[in-house]
Amino acid sequence: MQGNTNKRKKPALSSYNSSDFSRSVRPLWQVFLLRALGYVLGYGVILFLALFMMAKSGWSAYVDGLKPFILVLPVIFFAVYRPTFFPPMMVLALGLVMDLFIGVPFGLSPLVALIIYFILSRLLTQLLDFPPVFLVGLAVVPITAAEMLRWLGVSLLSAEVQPLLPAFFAAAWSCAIYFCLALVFHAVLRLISAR
Amino acid sequence: MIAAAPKKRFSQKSTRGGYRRGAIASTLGFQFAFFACVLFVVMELFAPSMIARAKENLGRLMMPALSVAITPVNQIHHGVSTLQAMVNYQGHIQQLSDENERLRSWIQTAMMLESENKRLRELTNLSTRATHDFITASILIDGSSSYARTLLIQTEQDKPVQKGQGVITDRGLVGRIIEANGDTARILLVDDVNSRIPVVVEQTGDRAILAGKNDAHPILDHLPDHHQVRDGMRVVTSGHGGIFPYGVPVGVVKQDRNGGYVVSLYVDPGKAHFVQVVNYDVDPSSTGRSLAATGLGYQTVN
Repeated sequence: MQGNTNKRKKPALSSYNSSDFSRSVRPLWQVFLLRALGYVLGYGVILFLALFMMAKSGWSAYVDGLKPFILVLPVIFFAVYRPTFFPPMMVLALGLVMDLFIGVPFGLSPLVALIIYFILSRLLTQLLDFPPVFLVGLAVVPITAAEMLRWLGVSLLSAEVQPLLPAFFAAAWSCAIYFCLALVFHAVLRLISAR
Repeated sequence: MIAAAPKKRFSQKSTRGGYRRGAIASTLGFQFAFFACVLFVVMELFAPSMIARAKENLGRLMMPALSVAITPVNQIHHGVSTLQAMVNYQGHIQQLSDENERLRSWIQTAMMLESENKRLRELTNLSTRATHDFITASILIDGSSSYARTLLIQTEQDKPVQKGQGVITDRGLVGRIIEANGDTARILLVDDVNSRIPVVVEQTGDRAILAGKNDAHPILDHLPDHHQVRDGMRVVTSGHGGIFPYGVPVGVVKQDRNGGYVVSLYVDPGKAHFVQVVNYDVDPSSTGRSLAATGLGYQTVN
């Protein structure tokens, strides 16, 4: 009986839907506009960062070389809060394009990102217990794990142990960017949850 | 007795994306993406030529859109660099003045050496002809990461570059072409961990292999046992291996903390915007531009 009640029970909305922002009643055109803005902002930021990392900065090559693992950042955020916004096929497409131009073994970056995606989706219910601010801090763990997995993959595929220090720098760089990016992604999430 | 209300937990909620615990991992899209990645990585290991062909075609397909998309981003980077240069303009002026002073004193020495060289060539009846041609290309994408040091250049269809050709700037050696597909080519930089270039220390004649290690200072490997190498000596290509001729400037020797020798490179590829792809297979009788015209000041002697 209890089980049937649970089955019939409509799932509660996530914290984003219960916010004042999305609870206020809006005309349909405004909701559509806000959601469209959310999608444009979200995908625009991801695409811009991907291009930004590939562009020539004019700084020293050794600064340029320590590039953050951009692909894994939206994966970490959206795998927890909105898996449909950044689905696995999009991870694959973006990852392959980035691998093509960055020069890491083809398919390795999306593979690592998908492993992180899988682990986070398995831990989804536990992760949602934490407040969002704490989750942003907790992102250091999957970011470092992703970079270490990539380091391991490149070392295995090239049959040569790659220097570990640049990988740590890249992970630190990714964490620093993630803390700022999480704010943008939170805004995106609020926009696409507008009703 | 009133039963305590159950504590409301986030874990009982579904996400707005409609997925519960682990559900995303069981979708067809996830499985397809995962196995596609595994397949690509395995093919990279066991069928690299097939992956290279796929990458070539994908690159050709993506390049027009990417070159359009990356232009404004490059402009932003350029704007930031200009701003930085403006902030540091006083330092730059001082640096240029010092450099100018040094170069003025060098002009006299260079002119004296040039005339001496000319006289000696006339005495020995030595003929020199340029056997190199070069194509200037702009750098399109910085393909460097923590694991690889590469640059992607845009070339012209009517002047194709080939795999294995050397790449230089007016300051010295940059790397060599490892992938060429019509209108783009990938350069493996000299400091990449996979780069090995035969070099010679100019003052002592000691030969070595310049081995990249993904940082600013590639090491001088396989130096002879009783070498005379010291800090500040100039390193140039030795000409062995057939990719680079003798004498392309590489950098300056520097002793590291462990007593080994590293090279401080003349060229920082991050700051270069144009490079020259050198073709050494030019017919000597053709009117190809000499490498001397690039400012590197070396020629091949036939």
